[in-house]
Amino acid sequence: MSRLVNRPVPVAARRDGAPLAFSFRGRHRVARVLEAWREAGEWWEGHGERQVYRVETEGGGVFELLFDLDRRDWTLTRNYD
Amino acid sequence: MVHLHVHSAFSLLDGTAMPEALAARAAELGQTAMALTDHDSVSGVPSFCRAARRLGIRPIAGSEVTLADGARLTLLATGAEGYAGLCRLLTAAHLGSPRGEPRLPYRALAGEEGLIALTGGRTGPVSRALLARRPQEAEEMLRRLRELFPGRLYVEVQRGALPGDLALEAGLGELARRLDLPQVATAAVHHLRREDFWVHDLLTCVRIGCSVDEVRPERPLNGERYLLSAQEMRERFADRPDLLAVTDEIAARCDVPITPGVRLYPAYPLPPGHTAQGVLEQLVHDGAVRRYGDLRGEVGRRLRHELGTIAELGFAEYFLLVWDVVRFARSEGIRVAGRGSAADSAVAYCLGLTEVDPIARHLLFERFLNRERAERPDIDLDFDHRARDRVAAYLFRRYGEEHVAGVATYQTFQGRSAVRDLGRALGFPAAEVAELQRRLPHMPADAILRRWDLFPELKAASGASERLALLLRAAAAVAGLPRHLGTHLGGLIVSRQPVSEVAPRQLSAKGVAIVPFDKVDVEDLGFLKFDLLSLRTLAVLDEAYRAAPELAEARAAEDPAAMALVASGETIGLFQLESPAQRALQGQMGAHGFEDIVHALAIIRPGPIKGNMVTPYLRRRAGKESVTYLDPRLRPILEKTYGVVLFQEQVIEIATAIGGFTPGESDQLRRVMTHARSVAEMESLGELFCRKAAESGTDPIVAREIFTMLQGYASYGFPEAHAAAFAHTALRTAQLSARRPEALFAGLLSQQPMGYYPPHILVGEAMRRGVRFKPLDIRRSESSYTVEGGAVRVGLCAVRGLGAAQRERILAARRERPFRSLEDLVARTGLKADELSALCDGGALDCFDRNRRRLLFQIGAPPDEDGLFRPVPRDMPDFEPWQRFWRQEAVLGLRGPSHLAAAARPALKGQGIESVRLVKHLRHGETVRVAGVPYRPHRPPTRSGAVVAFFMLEDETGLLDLVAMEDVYHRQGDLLFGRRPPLLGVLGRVQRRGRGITVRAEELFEPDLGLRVE
Repeated sequence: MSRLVNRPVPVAARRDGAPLAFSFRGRHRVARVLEAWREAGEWWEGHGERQVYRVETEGGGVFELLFDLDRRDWTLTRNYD
Repeated sequence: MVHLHVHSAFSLLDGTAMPEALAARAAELGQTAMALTDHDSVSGVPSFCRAARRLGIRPIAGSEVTLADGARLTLLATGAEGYAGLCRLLTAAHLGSPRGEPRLPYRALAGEEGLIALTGGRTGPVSRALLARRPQEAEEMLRRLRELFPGRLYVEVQRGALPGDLALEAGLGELARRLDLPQVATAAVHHLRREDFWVHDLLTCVRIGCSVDEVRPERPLNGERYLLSAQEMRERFADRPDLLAVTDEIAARCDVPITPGVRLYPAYPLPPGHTAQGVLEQLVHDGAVRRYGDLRGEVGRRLRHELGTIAELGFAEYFLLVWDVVRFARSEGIRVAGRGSAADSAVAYCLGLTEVDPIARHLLFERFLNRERAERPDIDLDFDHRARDRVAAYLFRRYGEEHVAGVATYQTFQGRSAVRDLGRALGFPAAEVAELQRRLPHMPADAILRRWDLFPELKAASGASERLALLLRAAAAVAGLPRHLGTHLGGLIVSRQPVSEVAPRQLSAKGVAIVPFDKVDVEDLGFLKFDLLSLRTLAVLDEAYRAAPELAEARAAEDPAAMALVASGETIGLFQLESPAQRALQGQMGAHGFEDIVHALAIIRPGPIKGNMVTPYLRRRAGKESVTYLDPRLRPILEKTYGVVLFQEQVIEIATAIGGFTPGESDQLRRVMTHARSVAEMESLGELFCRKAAESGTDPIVAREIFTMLQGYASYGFPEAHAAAFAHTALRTAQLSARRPEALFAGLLSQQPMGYYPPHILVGEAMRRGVRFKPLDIRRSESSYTVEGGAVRVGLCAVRGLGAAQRERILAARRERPFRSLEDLVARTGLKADELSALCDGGALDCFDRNRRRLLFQIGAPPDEDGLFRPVPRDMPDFEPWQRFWRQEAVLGLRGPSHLAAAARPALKGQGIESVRLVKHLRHGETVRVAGVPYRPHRPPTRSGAVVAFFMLEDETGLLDLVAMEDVYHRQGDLLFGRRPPLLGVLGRVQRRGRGITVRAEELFEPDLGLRVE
């Protein structure tokens, strides 16, 4: 099960873009990236591409983080139970 | 690194780049080889190979084939043999499955040793099982493929940045290790550059029929599937450089699939001990004796020259094949006529393929066939369209089903189709898309954006919005991309070896086997293409001569009545002479000989019109302007056309005489000019012309002026031979129109749709010419329009909604005994209510009851637009005359005497609006108000680029030509191309030129018709 979060969050990232840590009701360190993919976004509305990471944190939580390549900001989109 | 999985736009509504563009980009990126692997198709392979050869890239042919279970496998041909195998597989996939859903059985893959297989992307048979978490099935599938492709199977790894990629790649790697199979990297290219992703996505939406706002799994998720550079691929596979090295190994195993210059011409069945050339020479000799009698001198020299060229180029069998088809057609009584450049050949003339004597007309054989060019000759034959399938069937019988196939056409996105498809995909309301499409003039999809401001009615149809701007950009992006494959009407290939060895076969919509290549590509593959063109005019002549047999063998070109009719400008219904431009020309020209007709056909073409050559030609011909030549050497070439370039042959002669062009160079110039090709090509030929002309002593300024004159001629000019061939047919229709108009118009009306005018205009014209019409009558009308006692009886074919089978049922029942009543008709034909209603509205049932409203009630159809059923009062009133008019027009497309303008005439008179008949008696410069049904508004290209609208108005008294200049068009063009009221009023001035009359509109308006709908 997953819950939609859709909140902007501060993220520390590696040089290749992958997240290292983020803050959401506390600080979470990324233990590993489970999946990474890229989405085009709604180009017909003028939106740009987004890079999405599904990560497992050191605390054992699974989250989905989205990086908007145009706006260059991060959103926490989902939280998996 | 070599890209081994690449889709072009021939992966229809998926790939976004033409094969040439992909090859060019690969060359730009410094790549030395590339594969093309379109979905279930090799349509892009010929153009890909051509471009690759030019750019120094080694082309690898392939396809991503769909297997029986819907999975997709990437196949690559290791060379010509592998390509033949691929064609066999694609044929099996297409012919063994429902049309448009090719599926290949796994077992068919066995034994194709010339093919290498990659396991495909996420829809590949192995990846699909892994993604569905069925590893056992994935392994079994991979084992099966390894057996089918021993030593020729590679596990394909794509890193398209999609969810699940990591697990999928790990699973594939594990299987590859276990089964000891090599892995290879691909990018599954679908577009040229990353930023083209949106076009790929949009085309996918068009293909699957959704709008961009809908989430669908078939849509691509991101723009990663573009043509990456080697460096980008190295970065993408930074941890697995070995996968990139394998791409080079595979490419090294693949050779070029198509050998240029191969000839697959059919073997003409010859009698034992004879050669094709020998048989041809004998036939030509016999024909020459019939045509010329005396074969000494010029005739003999010319025939020897032509036959020598034919022998040298090895085309004797081609001529025999064409001769054989014509012989078959004539033996079956099928009308056939040669056209195009074949009429430049005396051999074709002697074989009876054409009716124009090229020696008498001094026509150049080199225009048709030339040693230097060594291209395949193209003999275009027109057949009565009704018999074309019979002729095609003859070819299938004579050469065998496996050796004959139809040819495809690549139906590309044009302005209207792009707006329709992309508009829907972008979520525009259907009504708005339809309206925009209706108002859009025919133009390439990439011209809409540029020309948007020129067409006020477009803005009126769709307000400015960001989505609209996006639509126009999208239209430009897909311009010229193939949208779907069509079937070339009449194009057939006839091959020496089975077609499937060289090209896949698939079924056309009509169920005929076609190859998925267009006419250029089939010739590139070495096939002989044969054009069975259809000309409805031949069917018209056939029908007309049945009613007027005395004219069937008459020499129309020498008939003064035919010529006088043409000179009068009353040419509606005449082949090639009926357009408003031709009518206006004839009114001014006053043709008095066959050559005038040949010239007229050649001058009303886009090139001469845009080059403003019509007026100088007419003035010089009338002696109002002297004929001058830029160089004395032009005189013998242009003298017969008053110094104006009218024919393609003249372009060749000028290039040779002034520019010193070789025949090959001249022909290249002609091609560039007649097909309005690129500006750069034209300029480079212009430089060559001027340089060579200067070298032979021509003043450089004069040389430039002559080339400018040739340029003015450019775009779609006729060869003289073609114009002459058409002039013969045109004069046949003129003779019929002058002497037996009822026969011609009955023929024309029976063959609709054809020609420039719809049936009601033809009927109106025929009536003005004194032809009487007898109404549609269920007891008398035949299937076609027929001549009955000197009048034309409307045929059942005129009734919309009544098919050929129903017509045949009516006629068969009537042959037994006449119909006595509506009940009798229904009982014996089983016609349905909607068919009976159509017959009633068309007047066919007036013989049972003249009150059509009452009849309709009996039939069971709603008696009125309100759709209410009421008990029929015995005194139920009939429709009002104007209601009968509209209902009849809706069914028959004919207006007859009950024209809307006639019904509105009292009200029109009250507004000072005159009839067309009266306008035709006014003097030049007089102001007039006129109204009629607007017809055929169009905006042809003009030299200045200004948009001028030409249109016609039809009322109950005749047809009038009008023109609206740019200011009027911009102010009120919406009335012509947008809202289109039932009657359009025009305030304008009469313009007379010779016998021609036009009204130049100053204001358009919607008149009050004075008709009230209850």
